[in-house]
Amino acid sequence: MDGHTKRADVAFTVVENRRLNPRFVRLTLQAAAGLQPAEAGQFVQVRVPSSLHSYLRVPISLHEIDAAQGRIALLVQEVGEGSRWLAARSAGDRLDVLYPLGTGFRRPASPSASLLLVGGGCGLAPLYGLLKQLKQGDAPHSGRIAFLTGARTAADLLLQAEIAALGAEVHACTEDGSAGEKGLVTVHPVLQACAFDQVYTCGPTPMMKAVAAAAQAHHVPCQVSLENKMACGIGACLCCVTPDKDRHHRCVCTEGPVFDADILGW
Amino acid sequence: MSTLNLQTDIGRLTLKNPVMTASGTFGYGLEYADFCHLNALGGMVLKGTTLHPREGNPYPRMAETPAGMLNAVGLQNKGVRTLIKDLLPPLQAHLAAAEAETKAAQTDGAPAAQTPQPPTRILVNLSGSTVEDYVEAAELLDAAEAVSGVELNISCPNVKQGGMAFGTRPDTAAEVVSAVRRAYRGPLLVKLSPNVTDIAEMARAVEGAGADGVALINTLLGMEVDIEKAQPVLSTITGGLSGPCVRPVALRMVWQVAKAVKIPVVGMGGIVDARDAIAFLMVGASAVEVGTANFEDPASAEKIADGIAAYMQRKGIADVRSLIGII
Repeated sequence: MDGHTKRADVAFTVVENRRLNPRFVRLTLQAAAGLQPAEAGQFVQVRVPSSLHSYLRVPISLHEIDAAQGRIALLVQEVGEGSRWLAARSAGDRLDVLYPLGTGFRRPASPSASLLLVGGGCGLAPLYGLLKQLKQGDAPHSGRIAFLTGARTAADLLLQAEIAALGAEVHACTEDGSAGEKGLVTVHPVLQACAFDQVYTCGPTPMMKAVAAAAQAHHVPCQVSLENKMACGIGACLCCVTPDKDRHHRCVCTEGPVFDADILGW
Repeated sequence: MSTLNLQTDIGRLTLKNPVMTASGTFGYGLEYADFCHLNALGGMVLKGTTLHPREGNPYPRMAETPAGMLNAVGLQNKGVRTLIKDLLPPLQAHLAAAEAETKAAQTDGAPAAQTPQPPTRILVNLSGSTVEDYVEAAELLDAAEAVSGVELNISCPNVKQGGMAFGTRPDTAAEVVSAVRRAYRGPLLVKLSPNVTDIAEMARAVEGAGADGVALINTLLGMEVDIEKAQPVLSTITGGLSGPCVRPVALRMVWQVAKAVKIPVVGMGGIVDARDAIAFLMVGASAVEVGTANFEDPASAEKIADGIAAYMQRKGIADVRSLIGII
């Protein structure tokens, strides 16, 4: 149990459903009152109807958080029945959401630290949230922030203008070379040089492992946000575990989803 | 109706209401404190505990299914000593504080209940690989005053040794129950596996060995395949199925067992609302446990207790005990 923040089953109303591309929508949700503060990298469990293939809530990273205004945004990738149902919600619909869950990104030690954020797929959601919190707080981050996105094609690249608008360097890789560097994020010079004080990454597991390995090769600390399958989201069922270097199982939904890569034995 | 009596008995253990939470779905209790009034529960059965800590099975341990889920956690737990030393005291303190708060609120408003309410009961689900391990852990629990009862797990399908191996044959089940019975003096429930030919025979065997009650059903052995990867979803290939999909099977088994034994029966398997819980009471369960529903709604168990009271109010039933075994 994290204990410090009181979590709750919050009734939200959908205020906007914006389609970003054929596979992603951004849902903006409004609570009746202000919310407990949350850190980028924390997540929520959204209740969806039981279907022919699923029963449980859908865990989704917080994408944007405005706790004082009672507003959050979620980036929904349509992968299963639950997420397809979510992507079909429209303004006025109600959603039951366990908020906020897990342990998010740890902020850099210094506001002048140079940071590299590497995201792929729906992994962009919490990294964008982190960038926003870093740039829009009371003491905005002053150091260099580079944001590297990996995608299949130029059409799959999300949020590039928004990332630039927040003052980050925008870098991209596409598998077909239709935008940015051709290939996976590991081919990108900004990651290969890895001249940063801290790396943050979220995306498919093979991508995060490769990013963590590149950071480690340059002795740069790296935080990774895991997406293990889970049932409860609050540390009770222990379905979502990942092994650490000592082969102890760490609970992803409470000790993570964000971990320092160097403790993991994944 | 002026007052409703929701109290029920599992042998010598009186619960404030018939709703408990099922082991493995409610952690060590406090995980749920933000979402649910723990002191509104009749009891909670804590995570399956073994003599020594266990890391459990490799990931992936969970698969989604129609109206339910498969798990293969494999009894990951912190061990009985850590449970007693570090996990029970804060839970007990939380329950005592919550109870004091409820009492204070009652004296402000409505008159207090006419009969003294028992506290929310803390039961420990106990598992092991050998009879000796079960007995040593049971001796430690016998000395732990926070523990109201033990639910002996001889039915976990997700461990290679022990677990369900004890609970699928009447002679081995009776052996482990007899041994634990000698080591543990408090209320002893035995949790039965549905993965047997005749569950009534198993219930009679553990009754004969000294169990104070039986709890059923544990999960049904199942399997799921990822056809994209052409491999099983679970690291252990098979796992335990739970959730609403198992409820009719569970209800049938509780009905069979309640007819076969004299000791009380605790019913569980796919209960998500008060209607489900009342059905289990009607076929002979003295109390119920809510499991997988806690994942969908972490306040399920509390809502189910409220729902049973609302049903009694609506039907003019004063005492919940009068519902037990009427079918």
